[in-house]
Amino acid sequence: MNGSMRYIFQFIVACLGIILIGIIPVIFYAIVKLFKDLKDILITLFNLGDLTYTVKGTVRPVFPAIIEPYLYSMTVLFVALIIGVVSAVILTYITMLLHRKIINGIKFVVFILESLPDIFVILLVQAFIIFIYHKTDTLLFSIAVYKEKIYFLPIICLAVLPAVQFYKILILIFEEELEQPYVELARGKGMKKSWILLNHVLRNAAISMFYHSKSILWFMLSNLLILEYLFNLFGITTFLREYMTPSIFTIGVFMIFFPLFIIYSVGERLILRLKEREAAKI
Amino acid sequence: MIILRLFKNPLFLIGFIVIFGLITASFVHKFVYDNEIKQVMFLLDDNGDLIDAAPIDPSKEFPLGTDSGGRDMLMMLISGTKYTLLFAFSVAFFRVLFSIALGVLYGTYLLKFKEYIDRFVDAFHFIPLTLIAYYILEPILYQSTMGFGFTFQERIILEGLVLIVLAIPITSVLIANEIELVLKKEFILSAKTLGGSKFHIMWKHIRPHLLGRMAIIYGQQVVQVLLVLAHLGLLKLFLGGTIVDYTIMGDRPKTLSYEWSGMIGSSMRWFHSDAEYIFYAPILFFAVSILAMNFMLEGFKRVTNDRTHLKKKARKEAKKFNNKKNSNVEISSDMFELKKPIRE
Repeated sequence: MNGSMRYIFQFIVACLGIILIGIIPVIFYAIVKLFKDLKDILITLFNLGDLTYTVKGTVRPVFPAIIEPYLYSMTVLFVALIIGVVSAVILTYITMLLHRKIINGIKFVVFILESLPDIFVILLVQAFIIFIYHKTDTLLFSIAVYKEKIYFLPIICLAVLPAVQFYKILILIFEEELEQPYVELARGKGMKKSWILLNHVLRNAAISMFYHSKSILWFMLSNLLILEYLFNLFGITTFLREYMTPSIFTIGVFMIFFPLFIIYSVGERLILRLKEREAAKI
Repeated sequence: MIILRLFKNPLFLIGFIVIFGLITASFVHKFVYDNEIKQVMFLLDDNGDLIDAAPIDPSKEFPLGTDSGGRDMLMMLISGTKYTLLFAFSVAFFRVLFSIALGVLYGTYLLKFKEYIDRFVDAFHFIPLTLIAYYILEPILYQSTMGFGFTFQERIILEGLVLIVLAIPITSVLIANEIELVLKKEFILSAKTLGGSKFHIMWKHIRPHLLGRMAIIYGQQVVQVLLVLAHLGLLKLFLGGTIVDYTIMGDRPKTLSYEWSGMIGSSMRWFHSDAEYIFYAPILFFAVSILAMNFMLEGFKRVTNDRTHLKKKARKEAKKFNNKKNSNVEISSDMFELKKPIRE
């Protein structure tokens, strides 16, 4: 087993994991029902068009109704992720050019920010917007909506915590990298610190950041759930919460999992390639 | 003495005082004041004129204000502390306990299947824990028109079980990875060469290495349980069950005790009102205790990474040794060789 075969196999194993998660609740009620639900889920996986959900007595097909909230959530999630990463990189770059003592102070502030629960951060941002509204009578962005799409504020709220986490990790990685011998060599050759950071350190840090991003993404997913609830957004987690059955839950989780699996597989593949090429150069 | 050094660390100390203080206050409130909550419906000034009616804004008398029933928020939250924190501590404890058992099994015998087990567990990384916990717990915790299907004790145990079981796969893999890291070290190879059995290596070599890591994982789990409790409370699933009033005059969902997740859920409707502090108060308590736990964790990390005490100890012993050596030697004049003074 090598190359793409292995990825296909890993994918199948991970899918089995998801299907099993979809069934967990059932174990609680009856083991017998488990096998029936497993069958149901497998059947619906192959007949997606037939899957339905019930709103106030009327039965509707899940597809394409689920697509719209799904795309909405994914947009919010990925834009927030990108904003988080980009702002963390920029902040780290600026921070590393500062004095040692200032960096230590910043680290402590970041530690406190990172320790705050997500609900608290989301509420702080909302409270801030309300505060500005009370003071200046201008509503910067709509805060809560009824089945209407808002982007700016949810994305900002969702991006704050990952940005802080990426920032913290990046500072650690950067500090470690700066102690590597190649940095000393580059400095000895007369390169400026800002240039070394940008051209060499950042590139090496990107790889470890990629691996760290997985756990941060997981964290963001549960933030997304709370965010959609507090802002009253109709996204994928709201859909799953309101119309929850084992089949719909499995499909929903699968839809969240699928793009992430592709991104991470491609990413890992690319990193391996890069490493091989580097090795070949030497 | 690691405990002594822990309490010398300011971060750890602050966190510990906050957590310990909250729990003590809660028990004092229970045993000394018999769980009584101060209740004031109207505030009158000296002339007997009405100043304010419940909900009363935060003031000197009510630091966090009162809810619409005139009950003191601070007292309710203090009273609820014991249930919330003790629940989080015990759920985290069992999570780590079971995960250690599974992680050791995995790290010792199942590493052959690592690639597939890891991928399987990876699936758990793509579902918010709150969502799946909500999915399972909703029928158990949310009172239906027929009442609850389980008794209060059963609901608490089931909620605990669900929160424990859901975290075990990820935590076990985490612990197994830690074990694998230690297994790769050179001294394990020598222990194996000398004929150490798997159990011997686990107990004598890996256990001491893992203890510190376990403490950190435990702390992280406590934080995670608190977060999930806050999330579930927001989604109107309270610790031990949500009481729902199905009569026409439908009251807001209630919790049986004053535990914090219930306080969040039942004060949610004040969020966009003038009395939004009712909603902020329980969240503030969650935030403070999570922050305190993280302070303790950070303090613990700093103390265990800090090696200066070893240096100090070494210096002390060297000094002692030197003193001893000196005390045994008597200095006499014949120990010195007299040289001619160097003078020109």
